[in-house]
Amino acid sequence: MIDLADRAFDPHALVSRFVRTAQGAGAIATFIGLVRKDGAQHVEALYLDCFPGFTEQEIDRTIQRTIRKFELIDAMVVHRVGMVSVGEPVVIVATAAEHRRAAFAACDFLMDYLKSEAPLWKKQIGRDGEQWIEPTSQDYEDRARWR
Amino acid sequence: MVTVLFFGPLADLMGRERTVALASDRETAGMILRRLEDENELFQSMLAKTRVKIAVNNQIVSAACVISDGDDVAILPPFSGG
Repeated sequence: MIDLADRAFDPHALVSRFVRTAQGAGAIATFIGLVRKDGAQHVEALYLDCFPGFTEQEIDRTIQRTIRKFELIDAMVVHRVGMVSVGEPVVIVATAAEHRRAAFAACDFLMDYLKSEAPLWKKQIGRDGEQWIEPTSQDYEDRARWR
Repeated sequence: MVTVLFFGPLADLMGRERTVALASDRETAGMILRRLEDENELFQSMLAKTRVKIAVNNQIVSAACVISDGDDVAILPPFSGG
């Protein structure tokens, strides 16, 4: 399941619903990403741009591939779009599997995908102005681990 | 007519979409991109610094993809989520 949320979401409510619906799971891993202040940059917010329809299509395709690759029971990605303030959740990933290693690995795999290969664009807004952010070399290395 | 869509930093410069007429029935996505670069130096300098992907009607294609009247051509700068 993929959802692009244009308003703040409650990660706890999303995890509770996911746990209820992941029938047969023995392990559920979750990752919640927050907008961090990033000291030197004085970040106040992020702006996330997307390509409506295409972004969901591409992320869903990767979710389905992740489910097959790690033999998951289910997986969920909820990602904010629009303005997101410091401290707010920007993404939640949840993966359900029979055993914990598959759930952990799949959650990590999906986050590495979202950082550099999902059709989203991230602008950092701070005291000193605005700047579009491209993936770091670390983001690309993280993604390459799975190839 | 073809709708060209821009995202992220490219949308800040070009707006979300532009409608362009096909120059010929053999025009490719790459040729349309080059025409837009010729019209706008800032766009040209942005594309010189970054590698974009192209999607036609919601499918990633190569620059050699031949465009038809009514197609949506999306210019996608490097992705950055999470």
